[in-house]
Amino acid sequence: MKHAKEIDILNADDKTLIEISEKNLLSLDIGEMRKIKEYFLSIGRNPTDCELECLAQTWSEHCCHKTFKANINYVEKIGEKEEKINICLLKEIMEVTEKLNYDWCISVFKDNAGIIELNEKWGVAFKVETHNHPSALEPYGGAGTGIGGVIRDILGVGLGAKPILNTDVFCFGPLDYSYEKLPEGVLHPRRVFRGVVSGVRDYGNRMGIPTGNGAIIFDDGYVYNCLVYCGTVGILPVDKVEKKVKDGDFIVVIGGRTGRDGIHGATFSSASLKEDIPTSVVQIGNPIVEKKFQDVLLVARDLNLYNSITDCGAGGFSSAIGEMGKDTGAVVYLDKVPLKYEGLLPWEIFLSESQERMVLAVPEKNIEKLISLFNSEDVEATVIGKFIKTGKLTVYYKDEIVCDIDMKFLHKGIPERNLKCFFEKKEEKKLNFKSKNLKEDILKLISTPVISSKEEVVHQYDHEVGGRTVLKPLLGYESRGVSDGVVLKPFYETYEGLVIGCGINPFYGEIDPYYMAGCCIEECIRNIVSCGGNPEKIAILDNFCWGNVSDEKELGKLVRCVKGCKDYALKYKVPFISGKDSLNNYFRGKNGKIISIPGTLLISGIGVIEDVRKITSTEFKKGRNIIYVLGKTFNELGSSQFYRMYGIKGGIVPKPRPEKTLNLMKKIHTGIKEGLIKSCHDCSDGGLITTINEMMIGGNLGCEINFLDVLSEEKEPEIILFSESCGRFVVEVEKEKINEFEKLFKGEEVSQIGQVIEKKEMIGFWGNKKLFKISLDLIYENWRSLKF
Amino acid sequence: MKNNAQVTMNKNYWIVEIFKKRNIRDVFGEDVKKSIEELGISDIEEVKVSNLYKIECNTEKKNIEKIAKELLIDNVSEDFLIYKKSKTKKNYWIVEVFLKEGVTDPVGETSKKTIIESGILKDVDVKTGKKYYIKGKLQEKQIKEICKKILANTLIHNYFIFKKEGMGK
Repeated sequence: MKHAKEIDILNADDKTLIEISEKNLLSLDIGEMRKIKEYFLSIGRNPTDCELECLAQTWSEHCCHKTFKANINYVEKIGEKEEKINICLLKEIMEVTEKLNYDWCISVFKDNAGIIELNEKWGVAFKVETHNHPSALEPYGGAGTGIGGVIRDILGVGLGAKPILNTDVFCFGPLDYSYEKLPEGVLHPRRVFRGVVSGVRDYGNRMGIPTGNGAIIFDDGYVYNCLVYCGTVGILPVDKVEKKVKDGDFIVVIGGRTGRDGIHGATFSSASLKEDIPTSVVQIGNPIVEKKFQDVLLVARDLNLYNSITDCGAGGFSSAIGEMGKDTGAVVYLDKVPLKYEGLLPWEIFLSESQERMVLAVPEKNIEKLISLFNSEDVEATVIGKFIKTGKLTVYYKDEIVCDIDMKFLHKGIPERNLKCFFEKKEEKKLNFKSKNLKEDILKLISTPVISSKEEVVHQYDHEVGGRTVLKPLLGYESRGVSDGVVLKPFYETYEGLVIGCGINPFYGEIDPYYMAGCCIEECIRNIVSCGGNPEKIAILDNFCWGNVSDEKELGKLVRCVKGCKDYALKYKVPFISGKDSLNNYFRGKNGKIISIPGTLLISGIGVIEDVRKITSTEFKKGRNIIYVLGKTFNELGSSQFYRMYGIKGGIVPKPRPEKTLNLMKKIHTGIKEGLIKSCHDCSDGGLITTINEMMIGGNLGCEINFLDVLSEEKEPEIILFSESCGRFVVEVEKEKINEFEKLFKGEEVSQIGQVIEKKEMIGFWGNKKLFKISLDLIYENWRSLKF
Repeated sequence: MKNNAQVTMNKNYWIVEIFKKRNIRDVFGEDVKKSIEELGISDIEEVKVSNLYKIECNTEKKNIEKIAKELLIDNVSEDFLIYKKSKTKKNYWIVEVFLKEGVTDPVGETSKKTIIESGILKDVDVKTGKKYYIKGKLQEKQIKEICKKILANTLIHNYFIFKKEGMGK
């Protein structure tokens, strides 16, 4: 062999097999290496480097989700109660969608993104990805390519969707983390933060896609591994949802050239971060290239010039072509691939994760037309092979075969995994922590990093480009207020709309990941409903970021979380349409100590709005309007922002009550549609008091509240002000409409608690006793105190 | 540390340095100054930042001038210098940061394409970098710390320190 290298595994024992895997950064375990040896024994030859790399990539955690597909033996012990079950995580999630079986879910779990129906002609696709490892190493490039990658996912869903919105959610270490405590090679959270924000900003803004929804979380647990979630929403005609590669189609690569960048990204992201990392894993984005092919690609789609498309993400051509040619087979000529520079080995070309590339399957009759169309827009399009019904993935470099594997073995050959794990939890116990000074605590709470204003970040993103953003992330007086979600009006001619929201709270997971999952799902739905979305037509996406899952305890928490996802998604009747897991987010220090991130679940949701003129926003609208709280407050301060501020562990974590809340949300939807509700904001991080503060800031209006009137399990100011119980909303109603409003909400948990006032201050009462009086200026000043 | 990168390059090249005009605020520089102060290093008087374009080609200076003027600078707010070798500056530490070989340089690629399309040069390669002028009472150890923690990510960047004049090589 001239170009590829033969790797001797036929004569290798277990020890050598593991050495081969480690030396070549394959991240394959011994079971998998044995299976590969078995296969090559059966065909009577050794594999090439290219074949091994290709297998390692296809079987990597990143591409094949080994842990989510594994059979897991799970033991759960809560208090005295013990339960043993066998569980497959992926099946649990998919079962929700199967059971709910909505006809408006057009494409779920099979394509690059999930698709739901927007109207008869159009579908809407949504996908959220994570780009954690690259962002920890090179924040600007990592975050930029993260957003670039998820945009390509949307361009590659069905026959291609037009991206219309980006979302982003980040988790960082505290910005004031001490430099002395950071180990060598770990970037400071502030630097990661700045790099990630500017990376997402520069890529999204240059692509001309608005960034409209997100969240930022700060916690010590993310110092070594930050989390960067990037999402994109796109629209496509419903007749362009199906794609199928046909025998004889040409393989065409479009967009950027191939270099050595990002090699081993897929296998690397399935491993932990260590203190020494090769340069080649870093990817740098180039949004201008992506913008160019995005525009011309949609033209080619409408001319029906190609049969199938996918993006080149993790694993490069190996992943894209291997996946597309799964049912046919493919022959690839690597020497035809346009390169950035000379000197790449064949396997490097095949596995490279250079950005801004996509692969199309083009029928022979269209090939000339397609290439000249792309060239006319200054986008490179090159034929690099053909899909042929051989059932094999055959790769040539010049006249040499460098890879020749059965598709069946590549995609189905991976040995089944059997894992075991456990989850253990003591009964939650009520705590009754008393505040010494309510006014001070309120101001301190609103200035904590998780709650305080992120205006400085949000303003860096273009959230207007495209002219579709109806309800914007910043709103109200001088754009000071925050929105629960974003509402888009995708079409010029109609008033139809889309609403997007999200839910994330890793802190609850410290007590119980099961309720964390429930709370995240509910928060996402609440956010959508308070913008005016219909709770009966919401689809959600799950994104798990977890620590070291080879640790049985960490894996146990993940299983517990997935169980929560399934149970609560079924109870709230929301289907999962797509999802992604990023596991092994942990750091191994020089002394070998493993530091895992807090298990983090992001739920992103999308809903359809019939008429964008019938929505509402979070800021108070007018003095003398009446304020209500919908829902009931419980002593649920476990892992609340209030307890975190004082470093208090334990307590009762919020428990969603779907049987009550779902009905309440349906009525809120009606109330907003009929114009009874003037403003609506849900209660989440920081409790009721934070919700009211944000509504005041947005409206530049004050309020008088009698906290004793809030419907609550226990009448204690700390509980009513700071508890983070689920299922609660604060709404504003005009005086003339309160009868009609109360009629609508008859039978629900409703309490009238006060009124909006013109004077810019908040006056809190407890029955006849005055609790505190705080000026709005002071609240605003404290809310803006986080320095970025 | 010496300017190794320039010594080892075989090709001919010119460097175009682009900086803000005197009356224009250097926001990026202020930001870097803030970051340095967060490290706990005070006594920083000023930080200025320039963009560098290393244009590898065989041509006369006047062509490079044309490229700088017509393609690279914003005439309203920016000015430029052209040279082959960086000079030290009185009272300032100078740090140059370039991408390592093999790391994609989108701005460089686009500049190259634009230069060729404009017809000024046919055969050219462009690499981009940044140049920092730091004024203040600093030890070499502190400058190295600033480079590693703020100015460069050693995973993808090479950096070169030019000592403050009067401190010896």
